[in-house]
Amino acid sequence: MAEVQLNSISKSYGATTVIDDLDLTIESKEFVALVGPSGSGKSTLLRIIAGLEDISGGTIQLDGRDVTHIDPSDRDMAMVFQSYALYPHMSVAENMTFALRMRKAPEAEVQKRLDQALDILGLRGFEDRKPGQLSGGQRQRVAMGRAIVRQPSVFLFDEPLSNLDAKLRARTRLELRELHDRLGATSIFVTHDQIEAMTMADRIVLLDGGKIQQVGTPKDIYRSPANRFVAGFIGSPEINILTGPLTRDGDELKLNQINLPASKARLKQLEAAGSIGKDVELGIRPEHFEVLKSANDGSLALTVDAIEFTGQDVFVVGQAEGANITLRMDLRRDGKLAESLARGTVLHLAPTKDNWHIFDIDSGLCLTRG
Amino acid sequence: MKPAANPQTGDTTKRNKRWVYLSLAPVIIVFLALSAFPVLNLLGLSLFKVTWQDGSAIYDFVGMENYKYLFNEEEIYWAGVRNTLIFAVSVVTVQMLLGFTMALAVMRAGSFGRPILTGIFLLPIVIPPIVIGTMWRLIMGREFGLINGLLSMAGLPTVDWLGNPDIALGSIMLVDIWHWTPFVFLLMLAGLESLDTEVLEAARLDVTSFWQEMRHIVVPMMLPTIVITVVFRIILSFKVFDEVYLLTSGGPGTSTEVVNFSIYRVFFSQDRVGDGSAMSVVTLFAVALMIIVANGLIQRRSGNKGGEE
Amino acid sequence: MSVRRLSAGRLFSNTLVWGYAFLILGPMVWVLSNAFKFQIDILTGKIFAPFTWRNFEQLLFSRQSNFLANLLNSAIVATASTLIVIVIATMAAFTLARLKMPDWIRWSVLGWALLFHMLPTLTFVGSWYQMFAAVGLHGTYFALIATHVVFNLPMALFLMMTFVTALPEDLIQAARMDGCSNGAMFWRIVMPLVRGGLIATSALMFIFSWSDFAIALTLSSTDTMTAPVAIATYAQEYEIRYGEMAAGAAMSMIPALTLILVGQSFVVRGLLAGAVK
Ligand SMILES: Nc1ncnc2c1ncn2[C@@H]1O[C@H](COP(=O)(O)OP(=O)(O)OP(=O)(O)O)[C@@H](O)[C@H]1O
Ligand SMILES: [Mg+2]
Repeated sequence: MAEVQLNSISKSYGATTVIDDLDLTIESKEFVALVGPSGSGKSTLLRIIAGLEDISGGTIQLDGRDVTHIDPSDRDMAMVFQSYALYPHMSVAENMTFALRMRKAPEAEVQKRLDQALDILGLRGFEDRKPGQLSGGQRQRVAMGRAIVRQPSVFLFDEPLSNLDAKLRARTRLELRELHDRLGATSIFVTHDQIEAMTMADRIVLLDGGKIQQVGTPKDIYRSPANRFVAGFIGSPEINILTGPLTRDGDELKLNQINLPASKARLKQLEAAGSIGKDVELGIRPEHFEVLKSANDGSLALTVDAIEFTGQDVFVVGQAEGANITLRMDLRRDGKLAESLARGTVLHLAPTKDNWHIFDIDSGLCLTRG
Repeated sequence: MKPAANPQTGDTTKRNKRWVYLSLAPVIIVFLALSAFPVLNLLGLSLFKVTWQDGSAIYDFVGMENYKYLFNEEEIYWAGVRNTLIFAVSVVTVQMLLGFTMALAVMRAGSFGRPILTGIFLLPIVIPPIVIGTMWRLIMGREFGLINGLLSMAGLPTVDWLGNPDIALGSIMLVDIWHWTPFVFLLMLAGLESLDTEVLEAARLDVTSFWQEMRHIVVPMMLPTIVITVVFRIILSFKVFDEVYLLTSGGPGTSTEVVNFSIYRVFFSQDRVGDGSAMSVVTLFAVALMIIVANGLIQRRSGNKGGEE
Repeated sequence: MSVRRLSAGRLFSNTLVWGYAFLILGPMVWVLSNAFKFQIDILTGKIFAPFTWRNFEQLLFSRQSNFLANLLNSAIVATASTLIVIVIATMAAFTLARLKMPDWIRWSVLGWALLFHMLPTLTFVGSWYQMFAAVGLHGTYFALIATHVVFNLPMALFLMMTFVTALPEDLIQAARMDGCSNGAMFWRIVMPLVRGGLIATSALMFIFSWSDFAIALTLSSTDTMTAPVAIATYAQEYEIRYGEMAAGAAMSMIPALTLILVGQSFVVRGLLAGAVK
């Protein structure tokens, strides 16, 4: 049980505002990922929660208790740093028990927790080594060990996996999530890797320019992005964007000449937003196209530039309507067709029903959110 | 199972504040008591005439009299000021030229035995200055000195290095140049070696002669280091005392009188506390002013540069 | 660039620097060699003369000489002042370099340190003399140690600040998360991690204190006279005992020589770091 509540937090360095009037509540036992482009203020926000950074305005509450002016040592939070920040002059065991000793925990308790942590992390046998004598992955484990022996009410992670190789990262991702479920603490996890965020988090907080763009479950954020930025940031390959006037002819909705199959509800929604007849941005994810046998009235002609095989999927990159368009093809379904593709081939694509988003050109807000 | 949040650190914020002040307190107290207070003390003393009677001091308030005397009649001090300025400017010029040339040579062509060389060049910097004074007293001695011994062995006339008023200041400068050139050399070498080699190599393609390269590339790139070194070495050479004390004690006449020696003499040989204080105060403020101005100029310069780029 | 020109450059640079190295070493070796000669051989200018320990024996163990006591005084003053200055400077350096504090305090302390570091020491000794005499402390170890502390403080402060600043910020913050208050952080994290810099700085401070002449000349008494002052008095006696003077000089070079042999790279780094401040 540890609910973290941020109330209109602001942080600026001189004239530059890094965090701008931010509100966020993180439930007890929740695993929340903070994502956003570089410089969006993720680390800053995490360090504000930790108390390592002073804030220019707002309050922070931990389980309803105001901790805004409480020192980091007294907040009962543990942090894992991107650089690991292990104490080079202490052994693995000393690194891991340092916090407990600083808090004068009884020796028996310290030993017990150290033993548990060593087992959980598979660090047995390394107790007496110095950090300098460990591999990158082992160091990362020690850094985690240092946090878990404390059994804090909140875990803070600042890109703890970014220095690991891809395989180890994938494995550690799972272990970390499992650990979180076992320990029952609240975890806040900073990453710029959307896969990490999507696979691990209960909820994702997407930051840009010091402002929250959207908060929601991974599915939620992927399926109904709040704005153009979120749509573009989450999803790889990136969502396709086309610009043009939106027109309606009865039940048929078109952007330029492209036919957009829409449900009644969607049509109503767009009508209500007053976007029919205006220029808008259309976003379609690469997997939300259907490949047609031949051209039809409202289809999109894609001239292939490049074909990227990734194993199960094929990404087809090309030009259509003067924009770069990426198409994802499933090899199991469209294997034959994919094999036959070459540079210069023209494919005819049709958006699928309701699997597209319309964004206001000025505000970037999504006009088709359910 | 969980120990209470943090038994001993519930008040960390308060203890952290306390640490900030406690950790600074010794330094501040030492500075206040032994460097700031002495300045005030000097200011006070400079307004009195202090005479000694039966081992106890008698203070007579004389106002600005000591300063008037210093500016109008204390010729020896002004001789010292002149000598100090000549000394500072000349030795620093020679040290910079010599040190820079050597550093450049080593940087471009390398040298063998670098660690040993560095060790030797460190010697004059770390051995006690009084030992250096002693050494040179033995070397420059009129009758039994090494140089004169060598000169007479070669059948040449000997020179009274420290006793001839026309030569004495030159001899002291020679010692100081010998003493501090190695330091300038090490500093310049470190500076040269930290220059961006890629920029240097690229620029080398654009110039045709060694002198062009110096004038347009190396010296401009090194300029900040050079300026700082020159300014601060000049200011630091106002500290010269130990060698002068041992080699000539300011003589013969006033030929090697330096400011520090005047202060020492007036305070400690002549017991003229008020005059000595006035002298100290004037010197102190003059040097402080130089430091502040130099610092300001350097800061401004680097500030401007940062803005342009 | 041809091979020949390269080697000509090498020849030039080596001649230049090794020539200078010879200018440094030559006189030193000559003076040191005097320490092992009889007075008569020194006066007649013999370069090669019979070897003797007499000068050292006279200097250290004869009734007329106090040099052993002078060396001891130097050691006491240098050790004590180094210990004090290093502890207070390191604590302050950590605070000044890494902790939140009012800016005006930070800049006053550092500004004054810079100014004081460059002001001529001689402008202070008169005042120190008056102050210590007024409270009856003139000529005591206390007076010497205290003044050496303040004299070395700016340099110690600047050097330790460069070492403390070099510690990674994450490490400091990790310690903070782990429950360290500033004090605990200083003793358990900062001190162990700047040990190398601490040793280098201590060595330099010891050397500077050991080398001081101006302060010891004016503030010491017969009982507390340090080696440099003693050497200077030999030089001013009516009949100069050259051999003993050289022997004294040789002995007072020992700390500096040890330092160069043991910790050259340390010293270079320290001196250069201190110089650009
Ligand atoms: N000390 C500082 N002074 C001024 N600006 C700062 C300071 N520290 C951070 N910033 C600015 O604050 C913004 C947010 O920084 P932050 O480190 O939180 O970004 P981030 O989202 O963690 O980025 P990354 O993914 O690269 O780690 C950046 O634009 C950065 O330039
Ligand atoms: Mg970051």
